[in-house]
Amino acid sequence: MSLAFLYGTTGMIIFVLGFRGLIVYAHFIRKVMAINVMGSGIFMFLIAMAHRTPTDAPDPVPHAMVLTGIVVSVSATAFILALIVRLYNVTGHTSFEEIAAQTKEAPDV
Amino acid sequence: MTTATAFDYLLAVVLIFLTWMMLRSRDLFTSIVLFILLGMLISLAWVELQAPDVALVEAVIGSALTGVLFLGSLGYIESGSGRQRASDRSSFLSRQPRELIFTFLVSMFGGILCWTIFQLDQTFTGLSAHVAGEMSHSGVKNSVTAVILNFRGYDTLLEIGVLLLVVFAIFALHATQPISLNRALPKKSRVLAVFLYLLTPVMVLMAFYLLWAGGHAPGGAFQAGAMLAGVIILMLVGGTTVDLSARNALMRIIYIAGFAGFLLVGILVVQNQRNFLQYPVESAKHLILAIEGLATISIAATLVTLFAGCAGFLIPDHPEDCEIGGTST
Repeated sequence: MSLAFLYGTTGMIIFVLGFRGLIVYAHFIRKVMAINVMGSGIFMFLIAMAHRTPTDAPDPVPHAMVLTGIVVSVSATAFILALIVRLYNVTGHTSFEEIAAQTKEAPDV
Repeated sequence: MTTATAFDYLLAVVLIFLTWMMLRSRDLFTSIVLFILLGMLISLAWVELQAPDVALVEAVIGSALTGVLFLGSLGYIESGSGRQRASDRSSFLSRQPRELIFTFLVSMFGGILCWTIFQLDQTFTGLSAHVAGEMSHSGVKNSVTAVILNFRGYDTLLEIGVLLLVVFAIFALHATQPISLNRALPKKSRVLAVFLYLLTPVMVLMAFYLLWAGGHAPGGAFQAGAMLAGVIILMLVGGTTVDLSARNALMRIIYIAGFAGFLLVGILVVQNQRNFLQYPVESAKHLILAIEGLATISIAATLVTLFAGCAGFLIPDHPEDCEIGGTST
């Protein structure tokens, strides 16, 4: 198997694992980690596909796109984490389940 | 086209296994450590795929800095209470039958994605021929830097804009105050102090080397900025206090310098024949270096602020000072 297809497939498997993690796990921080893993899978797919050139040098345009993507994903991660920390600071909860459980106990809150 | 070696197969298996372990591990701290490890191994995969620029950014920003952001948030949350770990893994889907059905559906989805990949062409030139043809006009020798700062300058301008926007968002979420980690670290570590004393100059030098190297080899503003941010975060952990607040006029200038400088250069090069961000060939190298220099400093300040926001250091000790939110903690 060529490098491009090996890592392309790996990237897609990582993406799917991340997607499963995003849905299955409750803690907000773990959900954000899962989103980051999904991103890494997609980046790996893009970089792998850039490696299909017949010459030695891979296509630099997907590389530049992934560079931009990594920086944007760290920005988004930082923003979500700041929101999570703020939510914890105000409510004391770190998952939707906790918030739902509290709402059930005291519907007026 | 290169055929995969045994090392590549091993790395691919380890990557998938680590992802699985990371998401499953019961303890969030272990998960974050595995996340950082996973990022490092992913950058190894990108070296294998001949993408050293991306590997550098992944190692410095995608893995290390993101990991530090997670650790900061986790530290803030766990310092609040110890009962978090109980609800760590359960959600409405974590009960057995539902989780199994969902996992099965997701594996089907993964299978379809992998099958689709194998329908793609074995070789594909993409835009590499165009980039190679235009390299002589770009002013730099590294093709990725040429794409980032010259051919696709818009993307990078907006990317720096995104970073600036997140700083605004974080300041909007938290009341601002000078940042110090002293309250998080009551005991100062002497090992860390000596480590900082020896390492800070080397890391600053390394950051500026990465900035300069971006013109002809893997490197550039984002790698350099992240390196500088790493030094400053380490210094914060070592007990230094930095006034990052938006009330500080110097910090305001630093936050905005990268974006404003980029925009200004983009506008100044507009003349009768040239468009926005279309640099004249003869001065392209110096313009790119100037933009990257300003961007490096802005990126470093931004990333440190992101860390401070995620780790809760911008939240005042007395919540009543804060305009937004309640005091129900």
